[in-house]
Amino acid sequence: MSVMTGRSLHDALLSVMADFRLRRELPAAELGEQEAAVLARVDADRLSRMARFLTRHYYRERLVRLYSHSAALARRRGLEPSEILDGPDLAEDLDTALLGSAATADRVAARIEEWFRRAYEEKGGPAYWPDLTRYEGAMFRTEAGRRVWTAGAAPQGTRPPRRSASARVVAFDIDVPALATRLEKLAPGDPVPWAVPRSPTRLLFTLSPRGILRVVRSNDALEGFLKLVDGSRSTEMIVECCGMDRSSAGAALRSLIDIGAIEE
Amino acid sequence: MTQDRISVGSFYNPHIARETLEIGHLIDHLSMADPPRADDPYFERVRGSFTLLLHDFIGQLSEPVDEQAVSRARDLIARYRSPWAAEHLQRVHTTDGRHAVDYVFPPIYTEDLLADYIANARALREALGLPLAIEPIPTWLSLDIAHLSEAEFLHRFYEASGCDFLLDVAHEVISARSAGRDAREFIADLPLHRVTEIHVAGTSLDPVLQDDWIGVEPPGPEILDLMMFAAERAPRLAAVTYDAFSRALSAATQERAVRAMRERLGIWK
Repeated sequence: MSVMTGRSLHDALLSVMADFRLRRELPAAELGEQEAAVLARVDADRLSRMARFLTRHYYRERLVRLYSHSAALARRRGLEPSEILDGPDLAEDLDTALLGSAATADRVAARIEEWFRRAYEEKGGPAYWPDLTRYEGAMFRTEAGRRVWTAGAAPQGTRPPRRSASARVVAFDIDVPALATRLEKLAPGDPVPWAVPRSPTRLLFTLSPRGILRVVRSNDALEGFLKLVDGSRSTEMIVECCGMDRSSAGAALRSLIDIGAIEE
Repeated sequence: MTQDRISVGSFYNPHIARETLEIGHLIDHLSMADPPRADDPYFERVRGSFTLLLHDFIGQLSEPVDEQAVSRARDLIARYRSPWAAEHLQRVHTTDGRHAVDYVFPPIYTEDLLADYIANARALREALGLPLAIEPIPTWLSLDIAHLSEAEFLHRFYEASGCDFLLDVAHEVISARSAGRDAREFIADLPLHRVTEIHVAGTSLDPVLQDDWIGVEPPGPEILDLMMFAAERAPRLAAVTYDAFSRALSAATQERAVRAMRERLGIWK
């Protein structure tokens, strides 16, 4: 049995704050025997309240930051998006969350998008609103990818490169980044653009190892390159297969690693 | 910012940048919690109008700070011309990075974590080459283990690390109440002689926590009283900051807050 330290106990505390299953079960095998025993003596009601508080903060901050344009459209129609977090369905999702997981992000994003879909149907709005919400949802889901917190924890680069789980390509009917830029420049009271020309756009959403969300324009060449990076081909094989010269292929690979589209 | 006069300021909230510039006569400095966006139309005017203070840029000092983070901090310090940097005394992710809460969360005040925080904070301060003020985070959950009191931990931490103390009054009020202690006595026990900056904020009942927490509102009379109590015992105090960094903050609330702080401190430009 390893000796409990302040660090090991705090790791266990953070783990139960972030993970509903660990909080409910307090498994000694995962948290440490002494650590689990200390946590079992904590006032369970206070532990739950703090976990709920942290969880709501976690997703509220992302709702405000990542769904800002859909939220602004809703507010112009007299709706307050922060009420999403007070709904009974989402409350249950939040109480059983694993903070930062793709599954929880997907569940929460689906609830948020359902709320915006109903707002659009009931109150109306520009035809691009659903695409805008999907764009924001892609950012929300991508940001749930795993982060590397310290340089010492970085992957070692011994496996063939592979496309990272959080990277995704999403197709839209309009140029959403251009629209988002227009919306960001609006002052309160400015009219919201109503008609946006159709302009099919594919976007690659990635999360860098340091947790920086990136959205870049995608195309057939980029997606073809990403298909080659499947975890079975070595860097050398990818460079040979992609049809680019060595220098360009190496640079492309490095940029995609930097933005988190590819893991080493 | 000079030592013979206390600077009164707020946080830089880009959504109220224009209004912040308009009340420049009430604000000396702005703390920068996030770097400005590249397309922020107000930032250059803000940079020219206020002293900027780098705030909360690393994450957690229980782990060594890597060169990439130090380099980013140096860049921000140069851009802001920040006279000191500030960081939270927090622990938000596990050692292996598997779990994170992504919001301020305090460490447990134990000997092993004290040694880690001292070593890493000292290394960061030396790497940055300018004063580093560290801000403790409220302790709301108590664990049934032997540990140092917050006051003992902080006295030893600041002494050994050479860092300055950023005292957040609302944080200490929450910690005091959670420990069942009087806030004034709790604050009096802290190493106030090392305080160089004070944060004040409003508190309100959080419906989920079912307890008081920091809110986006002006500081109330109790917080302002405690601000004065601490300021009178902090001979190195250089700045008092209204601590609200949120899109929910309105320009009117910010103005009421800094006016209330100036009123109590008796400091007008």
